[in-house]
Amino acid sequence: MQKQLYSEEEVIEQLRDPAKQRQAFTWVVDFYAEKLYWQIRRMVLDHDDANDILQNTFMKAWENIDYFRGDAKLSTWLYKIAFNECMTFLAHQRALNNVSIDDADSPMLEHLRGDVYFDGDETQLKLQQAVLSLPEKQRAVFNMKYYDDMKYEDMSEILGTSVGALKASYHFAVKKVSDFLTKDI
Amino acid sequence: MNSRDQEILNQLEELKKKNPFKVPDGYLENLTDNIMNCLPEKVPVQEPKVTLYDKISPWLYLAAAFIGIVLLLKGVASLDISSKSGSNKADGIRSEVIQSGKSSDEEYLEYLEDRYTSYAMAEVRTNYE
Repeated sequence: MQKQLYSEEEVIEQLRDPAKQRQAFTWVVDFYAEKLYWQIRRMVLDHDDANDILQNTFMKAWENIDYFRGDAKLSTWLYKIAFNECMTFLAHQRALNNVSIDDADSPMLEHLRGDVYFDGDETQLKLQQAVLSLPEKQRAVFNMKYYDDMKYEDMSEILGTSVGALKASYHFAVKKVSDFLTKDI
Repeated sequence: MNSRDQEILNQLEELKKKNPFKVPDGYLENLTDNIMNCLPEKVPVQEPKVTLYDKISPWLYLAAAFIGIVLLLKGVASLDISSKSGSNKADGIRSEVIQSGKSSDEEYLEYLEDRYTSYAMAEVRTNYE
């Protein structure tokens, strides 16, 4: 099924049929994989880590697809799994690197500087440094709104936070990032 | 909003347009296949056949348990009645012995002999009549 013809109702119906489930899931992967990849990549920065997390996300979705009732949108459900996988990964990284939550951005930034799959100039690097300085959940809010222009209502379902709190969080995130970008000027 | 803030927002908008993150060649084109190839095949779970016995057996067990409880209670009740009537007789005899002031076994036997004699005399009288 081509991406532009993707119909969530039809896909959910086919996911419930064991004979058509795998094909329907292929459509889901085809439609959401790239979007999810970039969301994950912006959180963890490294391509290999993002790829692993993406694989885990779809593996968990596949294992639990029979329990998906359709109460929420499929995208919300997938984003929620991806977000939780990111949080788990970042917590694990902090523990491995033995860094505090306040200082967790330093190893990631150093890794980004030497990353062959990072093609940004100094300003882009500074933006990433600014975003890394945000707490992890606020970073997710910033990425979802800034890069994907996600609706606050959808974000609320994914992150389990009220719309008002998300709006405030994004507002302060933009302020922090802006201050960071201009502090040496 | 002052001009400096607007300038920063404009800068952020410009930065958003260029994606500094790269991927290996062909990664995104093969993404779906790579993900699907890692997903295991699901084996359809065969639902077990439910027989008539499976449906009624819980009720059969319940009925058997109920009958068992009823029989047990009846048995306990009948034992209780017979032990009460026996103990009443023994209590009556012992109280008579105690009231007579005699408490030894010999006195108890003497008492039984007297009682038996009165029953025997009553029987003899009946036979002659």
